[in-house]
Amino acid sequence: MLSVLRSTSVRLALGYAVLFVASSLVLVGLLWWRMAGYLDHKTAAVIRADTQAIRDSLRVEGLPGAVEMIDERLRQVADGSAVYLLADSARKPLAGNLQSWPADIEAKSGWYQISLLLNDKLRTIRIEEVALPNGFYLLVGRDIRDQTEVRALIIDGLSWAALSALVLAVAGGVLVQRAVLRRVENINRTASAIVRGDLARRLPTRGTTDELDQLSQTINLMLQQIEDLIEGIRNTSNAVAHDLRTPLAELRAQLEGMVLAGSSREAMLEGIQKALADIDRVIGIFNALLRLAEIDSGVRRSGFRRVELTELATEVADLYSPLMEEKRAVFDVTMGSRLAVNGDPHLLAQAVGNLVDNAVKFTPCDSAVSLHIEPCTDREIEIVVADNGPGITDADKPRVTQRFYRCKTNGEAPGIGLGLSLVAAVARLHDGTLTLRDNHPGLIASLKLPIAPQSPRI
Amino acid sequence: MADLRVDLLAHKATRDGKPIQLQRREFKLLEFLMRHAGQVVTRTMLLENVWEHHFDPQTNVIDVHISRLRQKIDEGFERPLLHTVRGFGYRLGVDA
Repeated sequence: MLSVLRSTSVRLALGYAVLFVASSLVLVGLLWWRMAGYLDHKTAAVIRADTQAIRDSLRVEGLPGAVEMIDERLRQVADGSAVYLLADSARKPLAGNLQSWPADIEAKSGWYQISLLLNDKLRTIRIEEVALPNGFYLLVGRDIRDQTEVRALIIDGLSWAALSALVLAVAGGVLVQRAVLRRVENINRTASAIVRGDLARRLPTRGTTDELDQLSQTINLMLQQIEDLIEGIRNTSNAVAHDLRTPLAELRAQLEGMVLAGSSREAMLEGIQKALADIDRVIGIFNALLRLAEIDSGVRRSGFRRVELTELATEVADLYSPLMEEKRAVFDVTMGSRLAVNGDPHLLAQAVGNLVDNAVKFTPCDSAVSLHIEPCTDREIEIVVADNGPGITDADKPRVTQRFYRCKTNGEAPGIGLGLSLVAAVARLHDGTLTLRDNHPGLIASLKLPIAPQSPRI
Repeated sequence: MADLRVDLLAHKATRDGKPIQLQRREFKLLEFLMRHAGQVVTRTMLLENVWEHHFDPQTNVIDVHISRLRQKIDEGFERPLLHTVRGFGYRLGVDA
């Protein structure tokens, strides 16, 4: 029973029942108040009309006329629901259906409500006392039992209504709870299956727009996102394992060869140096991964400041120009002045550096590489690095920013497949975008970053 | 050092009395190596101190800068001063 009470739908149903009963009470209360007022008013009007008629007949026809009128009225209302009493100045009855002047009624004229035994029935009577000319006193009253009955009727009806509302609400609640519970139970079962590891499961949806269905759809979207993320992590882990195994295996072979060959001291030193280079490569991969993780976590945002891109790009161009000269490539650097963004200078330098690095790496000898920086809209600065290398196929474009993804066309080019991942991560961190286009031949990498507000952020 | 002289104020370098034409960045690189003469200087140290970059280039860009500097200061001389320490970096000094 307690578990039923704990159910949301039953609690909801009970709440509705209480609300329903309360509103019925207000409704019936108002009805009662208005009706009682109306009945009171009507009774008073009847009594007043009688009083006036008797007063008139007393004035016109004298005492016998008044007595005659009272008798006439009593004949009409024989069931005892009307009370008439005409008395003299000593309150001695002269006509009417009361044996004596009621003790509850004082000498003063006005309205009274008294209980009387009349025709063997105890009645509640509303009565008006009037002092007539020549010392006569008149009492005219009506039984207001009807009103009391109406009240009882209303209370009775209300009790029944409340009771049935309660029953209906509880029954409805239970029914709703069953229907809802079945769907919730369904969701629960699917979620449990997912917790146990069956990530491909999805909540059942009906294609309607009711709240539960919307919830299910949202949860399904969330599950899809989680599955994608897990898939990404799995891919990354695989790629990490694979990319680390190669240098480590080479390292092992190197050291093993040295031990087996019993090499000279010179050859040993040579071997150790090669081993160190392999180890550096592994450390490099870890550093790159850690930096990516750091960028993705967003902690570097706290170090954001105003960065002049011109200065930064000049440094990068300066660093890479000898490499261009070696390849006899034309390195065309153009940039506007006063191009500032809000960001982390080291990460931005790394991003621009990676783009230039890639361009230098892939562009053939005697070709051209360009680095342009200029505002592209009112709010964005575009950093464009273009080369005449092999470019990236359309199929590969969305994938090159994934960690460890390397184009098959890369062949023997050095690299670990994290360069563009890092540029994309830096772009995300700075609310910017990285887009890759064809240069026919070659690649155009465009990094768009929001322009820093005119005054440096404090 | 040996017969290599660097005048920080005049931004001039000479070897065996002959002037060496150095670009601004090359001079800075040589200056840093001179200040750490005899010590092994890693690529990261060079990047951070000469280019003031805190990032790792993916290619051997530092090696290229070093080889250009080496050409200027060692070419035509019997005893090389700028040595590559494989796996670590570079060292400027007279070989023992």
